[in-house]
Amino acid sequence: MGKTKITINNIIRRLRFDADEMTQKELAERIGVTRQTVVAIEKAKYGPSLELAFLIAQVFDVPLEDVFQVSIDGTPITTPTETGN
Amino acid sequence: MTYQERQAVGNLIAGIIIFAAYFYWVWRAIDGGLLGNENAATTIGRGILVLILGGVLLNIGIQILTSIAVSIITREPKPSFVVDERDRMLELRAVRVSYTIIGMGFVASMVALALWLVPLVVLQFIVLSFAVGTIFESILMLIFYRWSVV
Repeated sequence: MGKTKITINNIIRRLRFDADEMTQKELAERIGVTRQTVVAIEKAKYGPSLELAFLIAQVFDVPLEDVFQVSIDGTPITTPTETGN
Repeated sequence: MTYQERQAVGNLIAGIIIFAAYFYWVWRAIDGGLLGNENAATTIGRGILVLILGGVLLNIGIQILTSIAVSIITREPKPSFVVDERDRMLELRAVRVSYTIIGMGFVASMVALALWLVPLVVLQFIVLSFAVGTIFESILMLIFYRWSVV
């Protein structure tokens, strides 16, 4: 059996834009990380810990699945709710 | 520039200076006939202790100077001291490479000791592997932070 490929994408950039064009630096300060980490998360180059993911969702006041969308072997297993769209 | 990047630059500069100074001293001492001296081991031991203590002090001094220099150059009134989960992960990756280099240097030194080399010279190879490992660690940390390799 081949290795399962899990892809995690996010819409943080759009959520920042919707939140009065919040900057990456502002978001980083609110969740207690560096701006470089926010950049890496936005580009899906780094998968944050569960704690950090929940913190990000809390900042934008949306459920976790609205921020992060998970696909397993190309099949989406979470989709954004109405709030996230 | 983040706190981790400043720290990596400081470690790199301090590492290069202290190890260059140490190996210059060792080279001069061996050239001056240290290996034929009966107190050679004591002299080398003292030299390594000075290397460790000097390295710690130089590192602290350079970290302070780097922070001041970066604040002046980037005109950041309040430099960031945030270290997050990704920073710690990148640091661990760099440390892992560093340990591998030191380990390989140690094994190579033991082979050399078992085959032909004088113990005091082998000791210098072990210090050299520490130097290469430490310098590589700082360079890798900078590469990881700069190019977001995760």
